Amino acid sequence: MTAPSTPPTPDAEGDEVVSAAEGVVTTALTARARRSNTIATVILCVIASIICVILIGLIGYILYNGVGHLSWSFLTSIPQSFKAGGGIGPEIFNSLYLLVLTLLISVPIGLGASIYLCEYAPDNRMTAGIRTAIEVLSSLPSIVVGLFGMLLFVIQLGWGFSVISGALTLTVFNLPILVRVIEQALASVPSTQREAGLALGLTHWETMLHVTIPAALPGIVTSVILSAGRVFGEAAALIYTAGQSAPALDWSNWNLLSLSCPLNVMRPAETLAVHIWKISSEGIVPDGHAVANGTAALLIIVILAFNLLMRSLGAHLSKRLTAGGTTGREG
Amino acid sequence: MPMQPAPTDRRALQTENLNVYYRDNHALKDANLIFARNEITALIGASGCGKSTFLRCLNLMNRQIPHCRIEGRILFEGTDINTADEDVYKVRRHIGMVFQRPNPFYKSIYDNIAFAPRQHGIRDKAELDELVESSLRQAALWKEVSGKLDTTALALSGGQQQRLCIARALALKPEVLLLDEPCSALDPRSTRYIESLLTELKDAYTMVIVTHNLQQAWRIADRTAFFLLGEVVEYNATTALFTEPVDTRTSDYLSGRFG
Ligand SMILES: Nc1ncnc2c1ncn2[C@@H]1O[C@H](COP(=O)(O)OP(=O)(O)O)[C@@H](O)[C@H]1O
Ligand SMILES: [Mg+2]
Repeated sequence: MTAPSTPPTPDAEGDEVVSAAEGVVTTALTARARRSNTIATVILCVIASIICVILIGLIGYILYNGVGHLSWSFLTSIPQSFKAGGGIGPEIFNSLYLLVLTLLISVPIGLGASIYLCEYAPDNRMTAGIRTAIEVLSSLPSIVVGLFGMLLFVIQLGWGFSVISGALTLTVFNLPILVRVIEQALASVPSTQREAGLALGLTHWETMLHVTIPAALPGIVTSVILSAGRVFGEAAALIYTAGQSAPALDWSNWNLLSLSCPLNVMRPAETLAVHIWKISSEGIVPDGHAVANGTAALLIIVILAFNLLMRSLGAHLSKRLTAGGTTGREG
Repeated sequence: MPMQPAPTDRRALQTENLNVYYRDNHALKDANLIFARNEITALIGASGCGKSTFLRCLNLMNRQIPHCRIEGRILFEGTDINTADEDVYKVRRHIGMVFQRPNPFYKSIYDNIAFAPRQHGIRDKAELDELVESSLRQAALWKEVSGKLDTTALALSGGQQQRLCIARALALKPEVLLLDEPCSALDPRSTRYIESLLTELKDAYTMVIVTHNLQQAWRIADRTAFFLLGEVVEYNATTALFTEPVDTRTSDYLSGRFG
């Protein structure tokens, strides 16, 4: 009884032959390869430095001009229309409030839509059409979204310049990108993960909920936070929807229909980005320049903080999922 | 087709005139195979000849592919499971599967194993602990991971991950285990380790393993089926198939003349 004949294994010997042949032409080739490598590296370094200089210069300029104006009273007091010394307290709250509302509306819808598109949608003309529509919508200029919001929410539905008009407009602005990036995060989960779930007798739904989504979570969190930064800094979509006035807020007023109630969704709510735009385009306060600079600095700081948060959260999540928790080693 | 069927009283799984089409690609033609209980059967053949397609019929995984049509009978413990009203989820609990690339979930080692049983209704912590330990022991992985059950499974080596995937399948207490080239992504040492593991598991499970590695089939399989272009050319006891192949196509393949 003999063992089965061994299938040919050309790899082991083949490798040596190739490397021996390479040796002859090595020197000339490597000299040329090295030179083009050096040139390419230099060019890429120059391009990268130019970009860095522009970015750091821009951020540095904004911070340099604005940080000096940041003070406790500036951050907490109400804006002034005619005299100097106005603050941005209500704008800070409005920006955060609109952001939270927008995410509350757009994240669940975005998750649902991207899960449907990635996991359930049949591969046909209609879903292809939906995808194209999402692509187009996600590159729509935000002023167009803003005018649409004005026509629909402010005028047609009669909600006026209000938090809710702004939040829904921002949802329209945010949703297409959110759907796209979450779908990408889901699609990047290897199909072998889904197979593993199905092969254990789990349903498609169980597999998606407990296998695919957890695996895609770092990507999903990253995209939500990135979109949050975009929403936070958005002005054009809000000018004609959330409005350009910021009524003073009274934290003891919990009558949701009152203009000074912070949580009233029917009151106008100028945000930080809109405030910058208004102050520098049509503001008449004498210290308009300084106010705009200070507001811009704050906006940049908050968005930077968002990005840092995103990075550490994403890193933390993927570390927990891939590199092992800190507990358990000791057993 | 030259074929030596398993004794009737030990049939775990059997296919009758199994045909699979991907759109108009006739990927599997009239496969008639019988798998005996507590034996390892190897499926060999060149890439693209329908081995995985065949294997994925046995636990109805091919049903996930929209344009795939499966015709014929698949008898599991005597009843046809290739029917429209068959509960695929139940079938897959009884017929486990291990894939070519280790695919542990992005979860802890413990949850990789406990997750599916929990979904299937086992909630008792002590029972789950016990299940995790026994499955890991069966897969010869317990000693290596018992101290770090709540760390992520992705930090394990490839060979350990594959044994974890085997443990994960065993945790559902299946009768049959399907393995699709389970060692093709592993180094020789891990491969040997898994081979001896499978040989031990034979006492409790029926196994069907697809392999590219003829020596592997020779080492561990009781029976071997040779596939060529969607057809089962020859099916016999491993020793007989390797030493006295009946069909010239089989002997050509075994001597490395094609494929
Ligand atoms: N999901 C699929 N969709 C369409 N065709 C497939 C699919 N899977 C396999 N095939 C086709 O079926 C044939 C057999 O493939 P497969 O079963 O994977 O072969 P093997 O596992 O023996 O390498 C091939 O021609 C392959 O292209
Ligand atoms: Mg295959």
